[in-house]
Amino acid sequence: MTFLRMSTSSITIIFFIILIRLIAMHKLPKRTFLVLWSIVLCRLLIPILIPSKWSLYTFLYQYKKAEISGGYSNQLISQFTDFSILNLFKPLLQNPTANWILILIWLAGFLISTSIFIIPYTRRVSEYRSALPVKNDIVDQWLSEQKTKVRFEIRQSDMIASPISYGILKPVILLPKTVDWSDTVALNYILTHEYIHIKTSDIILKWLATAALCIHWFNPAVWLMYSLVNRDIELACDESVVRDAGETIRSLYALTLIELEEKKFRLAPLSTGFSMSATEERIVSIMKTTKLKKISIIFAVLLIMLTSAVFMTEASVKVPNMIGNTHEDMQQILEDNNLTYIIQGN
Amino acid sequence: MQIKLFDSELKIMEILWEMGSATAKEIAMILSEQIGWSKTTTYTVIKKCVDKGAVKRSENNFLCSPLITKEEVQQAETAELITKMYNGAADKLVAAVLQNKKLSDEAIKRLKKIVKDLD
Repeated sequence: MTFLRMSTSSITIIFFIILIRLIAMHKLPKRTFLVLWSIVLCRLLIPILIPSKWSLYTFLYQYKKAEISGGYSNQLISQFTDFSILNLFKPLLQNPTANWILILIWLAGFLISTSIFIIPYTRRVSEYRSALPVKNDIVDQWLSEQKTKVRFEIRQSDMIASPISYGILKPVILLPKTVDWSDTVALNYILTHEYIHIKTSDIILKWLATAALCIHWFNPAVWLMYSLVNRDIELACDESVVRDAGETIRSLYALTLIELEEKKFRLAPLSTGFSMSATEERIVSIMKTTKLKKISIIFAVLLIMLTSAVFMTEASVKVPNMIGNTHEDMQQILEDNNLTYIIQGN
Repeated sequence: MQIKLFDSELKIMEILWEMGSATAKEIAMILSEQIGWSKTTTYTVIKKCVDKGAVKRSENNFLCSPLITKEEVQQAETAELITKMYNGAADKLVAAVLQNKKLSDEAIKRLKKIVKDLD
């Protein structure tokens, strides 16, 4: 029950974030969205429920309770839930055979999703490992300009069409052999971009999102979240690159990005993964990137606090002191109302 | 048919052409020093060369020797792998590429315009 609750309650917050994204995408620092998505991932991956009186679910419970005339009665408990989807599952879960079948279906889906990600990944990593070192003045120059304690390598491969960074303990920036080795602007953009991915541990976020996706494979909202997380990782990275280098570089970097997309297409002209809307989003975002304003940070922090308090918590409700109620009765009340905790009061 | 090798595989061939023949272990040691490849990686790439028929590897001590000369080798291109999918239906391939090209040209033009407008 908790597991399903984790899954369905994430739907509300995912759509809330999507709404914010539509309204205020370019007015908030892009990393805000990564923090928000991390909150969702906590919800999806960590089965701990925290009651709070600011919770959305406390509000929903009180709201529903008011609908019952005559106040609260432990016989007339109306079924309320964040989504009636959860109630659809209730009768199924009560039946032990159905329960087992659901678990098996989940397991099958989980194994299939995991294979879909792991198998190509192991193949790719095996290819990445056979990359060759790079000897290039521009690259050396860029390296010498980085003041960092993170140890990483730069290599090249003729088996990839676009730059990629990988590896958590021993990070590597992999450049395609076909990159223009004399183009200072492009190389700087690529290297800085990949380096920021490494510095901000974006790959860990990607792994967590993938894990959440495999576990909640049945939840279409989580698929939506997955694609948006990946997009937002790129947007946050682009923003850092532009902020680092200064606003005047914006159009230069945007055009470099377009050039790289063009090249990718030329190398693999039948690749249907030529995602234009994602690239367009990146271009627009780069061109709209401005200096970090204090007020944006304030908004971002408030938004994050609000989201955590409202969506990531459970209903905390007071019920009248019910003398004579047995432990079983209390359990029943909890179950019928999809509650986790009840704080007894007068 | 020409044997096509990727850069990683060509690296193995370079060692063999220079040394005439070498055990897999020796190759792994040299490459680990030269370019930092792990033993596993070297062995994996050697196996690819063997599968492609570019290297002969003996059963007992994994002694490797080249089966082709420098002149006979061709650089492998990733794009070619996709051509295989169309099984020689050249006109279908050309049509698909042209259509994709038209779509991407329009998209690229639109993107460049966005950059200009927002600058």
